[in-house]
Amino acid sequence: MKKALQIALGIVTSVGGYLEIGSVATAVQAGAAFRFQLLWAIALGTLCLIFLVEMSGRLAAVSHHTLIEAVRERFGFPFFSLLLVVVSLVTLAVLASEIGGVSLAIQMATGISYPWWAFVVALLVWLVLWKGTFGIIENGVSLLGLVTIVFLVGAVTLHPSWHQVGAGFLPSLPKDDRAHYWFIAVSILGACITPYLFIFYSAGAVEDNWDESYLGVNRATAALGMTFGGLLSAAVLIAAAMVFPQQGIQIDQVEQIPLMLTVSLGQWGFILFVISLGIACLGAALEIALALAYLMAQGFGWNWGEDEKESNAARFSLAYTVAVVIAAVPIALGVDPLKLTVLTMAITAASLPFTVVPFLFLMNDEEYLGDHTNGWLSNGVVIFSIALAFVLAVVSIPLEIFGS
Amino acid sequence: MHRGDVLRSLLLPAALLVAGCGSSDDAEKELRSIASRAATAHLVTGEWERGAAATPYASSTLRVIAGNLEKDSSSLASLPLPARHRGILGAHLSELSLAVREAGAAVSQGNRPAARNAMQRMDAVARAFIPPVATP
Repeated sequence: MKKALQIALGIVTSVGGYLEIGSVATAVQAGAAFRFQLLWAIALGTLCLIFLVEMSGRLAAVSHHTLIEAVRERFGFPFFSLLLVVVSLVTLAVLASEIGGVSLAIQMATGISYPWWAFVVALLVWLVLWKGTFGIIENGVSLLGLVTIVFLVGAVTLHPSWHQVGAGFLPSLPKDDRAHYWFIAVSILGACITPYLFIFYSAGAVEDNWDESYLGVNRATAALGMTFGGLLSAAVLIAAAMVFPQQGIQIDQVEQIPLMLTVSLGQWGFILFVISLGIACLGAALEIALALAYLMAQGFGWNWGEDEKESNAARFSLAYTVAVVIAAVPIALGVDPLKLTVLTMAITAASLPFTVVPFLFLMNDEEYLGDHTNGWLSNGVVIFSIALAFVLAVVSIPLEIFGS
Repeated sequence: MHRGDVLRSLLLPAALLVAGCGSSDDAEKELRSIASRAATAHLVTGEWERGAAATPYASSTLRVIAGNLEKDSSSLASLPLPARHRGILGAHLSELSLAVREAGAAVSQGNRPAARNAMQRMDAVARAFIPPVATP
């Protein structure tokens, strides 16, 4: 019974972690520009994510090492330093996008421009991190994130052609605008396979004292949670594809996005969209800020833990405090959150080799995994993910120039 | 007029224009973007009028769109279009921007008849946009 509850909570947490401004923005752009044609990118990203998240949890449960601790120990300080710089920069940009997402949700509710809310949101994020426990962040905010199911309701009530939706899961090229098509595909993959998720998930498993008896919970959480998150992301794409192309609307500002729910669900569609955007981005901002602090603390061997008293993990607390303040600055200066998000997702895709390659070595190392090293299927997916990560790293910047 | 018609009525002359002046990707992109803004403004106002979109959201979004349309005027001036066509497009863009701004003001005041009127003006601008440009 306890394990079933943990699986349920894990699934909810995964949904909260999956759906955030990056997945929403890229899915909406894909639906508006290419209707259902990019559903395959969400499916592919979700499949890779399921395997990589499961591996992060398995590593933590069996070895009691977080992903970062294991990388630091196995690959040494020079590689860790490189990973630290790349992942910190990318993750800070993602954190800025999430703060922008919450600020935009408040703007939609109040009419007051989002830059004014940036530091208010940053303060809220910091307060929850400072006062809250890991359980509150992991389960509380994620439970609230269930409101994002409204995207699924919105997509279904728009009565899409399920035949066309099904066809979208098979990759196909559009007649025009191919650079833009590939740019969005890369951005979707960047939004799905975000490094902070692995860092947060493996640190969470250690914070929750997982051991080998949790391997089943881990597998179920990764598979069901990420699938459900991917389903919601696909629902966003479908709803956007049903509303925007026939109105002739291109997505170039976040304020356009609620319209995909108001058309089918009226006033409740608007209210639930604003709440969903605010909560999903707040949940993501909390997880990302923690992931950045985990990255620093675990890499440098500081005391860490969200449940630790701040005085016992002062440098850990300082790390998320500084991250939140820095990330609020571009939003307060008026940087467009949608442009920042799409750019960030492409850069995330470019940084993937740094976070994906270590999985292949760590997950086949018996010193860490004992009898639980990767089988042929998991290794196949890691090798595919590494190949995909290198392709994305090479193409994302040129596509950013020509296709954004 | 169906909301999608706003886009089509802008895109048709846009296509003719682009075809008539030696096709330019920049011009096509710019005109498509203006058409998208017009369609968004129309949809936001319509959704507010039927009570689906909240007033703060609708008014601030319309304000942003009007601002973007004003910025489009300056980018339109730099497009490689014949002066006469640029003048016609510029005049209609100004009207469109004004109609969007009036829609935003009407929404802020909760004035539904004025918002409806502004929507009609957006449509009228789009309709008036076709003949002078479509005529060779």
